[in-house]
Amino acid sequence: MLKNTGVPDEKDLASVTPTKKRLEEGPVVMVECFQEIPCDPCH
Amino acid sequence: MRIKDHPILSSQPARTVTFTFEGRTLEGQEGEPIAAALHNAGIKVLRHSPRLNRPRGFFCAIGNCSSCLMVVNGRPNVRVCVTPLSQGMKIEYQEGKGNLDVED
Amino acid sequence: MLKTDVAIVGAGPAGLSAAIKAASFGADVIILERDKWLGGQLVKQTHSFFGSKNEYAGIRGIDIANIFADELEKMENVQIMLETPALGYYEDNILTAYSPQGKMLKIKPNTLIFATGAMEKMIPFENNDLPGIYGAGAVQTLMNVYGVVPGENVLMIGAGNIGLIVSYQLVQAGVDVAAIVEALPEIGGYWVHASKVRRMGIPILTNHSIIKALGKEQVQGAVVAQIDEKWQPVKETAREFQVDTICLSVGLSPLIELLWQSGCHIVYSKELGGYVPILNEDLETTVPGIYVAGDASGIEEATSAIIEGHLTGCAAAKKVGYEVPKEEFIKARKGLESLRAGPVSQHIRKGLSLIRR
Repeated sequence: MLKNTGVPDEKDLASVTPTKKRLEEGPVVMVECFQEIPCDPCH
Repeated sequence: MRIKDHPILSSQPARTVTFTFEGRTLEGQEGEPIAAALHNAGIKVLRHSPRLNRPRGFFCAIGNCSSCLMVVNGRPNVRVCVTPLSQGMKIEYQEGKGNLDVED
Repeated sequence: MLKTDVAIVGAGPAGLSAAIKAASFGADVIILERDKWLGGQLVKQTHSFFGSKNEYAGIRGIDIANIFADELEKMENVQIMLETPALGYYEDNILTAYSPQGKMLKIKPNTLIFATGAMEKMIPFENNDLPGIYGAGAVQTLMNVYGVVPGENVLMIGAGNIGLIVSYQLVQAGVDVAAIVEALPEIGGYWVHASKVRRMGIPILTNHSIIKALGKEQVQGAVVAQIDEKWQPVKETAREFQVDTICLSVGLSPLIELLWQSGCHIVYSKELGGYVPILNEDLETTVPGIYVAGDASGIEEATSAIIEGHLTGCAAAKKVGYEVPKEEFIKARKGLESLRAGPVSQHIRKGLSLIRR
């Protein structure tokens, strides 16, 4: 787990991966933002 | 040891000064804390604790912790982590709590 | 004797933003700072800040210090006194300080903002007093302010934001980081910082603790072991790291000595890092006219310190009689609220709920 080791595992990745339906619709941006932190510049 | 290449910081050239530590002549940069100059010269032990004689080094760097008290130009209990280095300074280890040169 | 509307102790992010705010409404301000520079700990923060765009997110801490300094330079009603530590505040409303020329100064302020910051915590282990063991802040100062590295290889204790960020900065300065050791089961800092140091090959050992430092006159190594849920070392998990430096980033405590001495009501808060003052919604202590901003009121980070500075700057100016629009207060309070809204700030919310009056 990312929160224990600093390395994202499959479960972590699944949490930010778009739905299968969305993936089938075509290319999509995937944001590797695993954690909600007090940070807004990219909003 | 001084940082030579750094991706973000650039060092401003400072005047090199000489000072003595326990009689040894060393070089440092004018205005940097005495402890930084000693560190750069590889000197990590800054004093020994008064009761158990344990070695003490640089710990907080902001003048809070009293780990770095030394005798500077004859004056004891100087916090060398926040005291700027100048040309010709005489730095020595402190005995115990340090003694001021006063008449009894 | 000097007289002023607002005296501010500490020129870090909280003190400087308080000064700018109070002065912008017309108040005369004196800033007392024990160091030689403005910016407090910002001057060693070589990394870009997170937080809100309104409070300089995306800018490096060192550059934020310069932005504040430039702004203050333009303000005629702000007097900055560097290398001038504040010593005490007394019943007759006199604040005493020590000038760089070695003279005692007396200042009579109408209001006072303490923005004194924090100091590093220590943890117990065998030989924890050996030279070569530093606070993480000290390593940052030595390295990023004075350009001297602490050693050749470092063991970092603590995987909070400071431990993670300083590990990265050590690598930038050409120093090896052997591992980051964290006693808790989870990384305390932001995972994005953790991933960044992991990508550089630095292991993060959660559920591990330092057992002892090795060496006689200075650090020559460290023994680390896995710990169980009762924080006891697990048998046969001890291993040795060959390092010449141990860096402690195990939390900060608010610096509140002047608040104690001034007679402010102080309580203990585990969540906020130690002894903290009881404050009202303007961050005013139980002594009327004394305000607290930044880490001295509870450990958070620079962005909240900046907004708390704004809030106390507004409150102090208003107290003295200057006109301060209500919207200024609302904006600052909302800023703090949104900063503390997320899951990573849960402990801050809990701590504050217990000490606000």
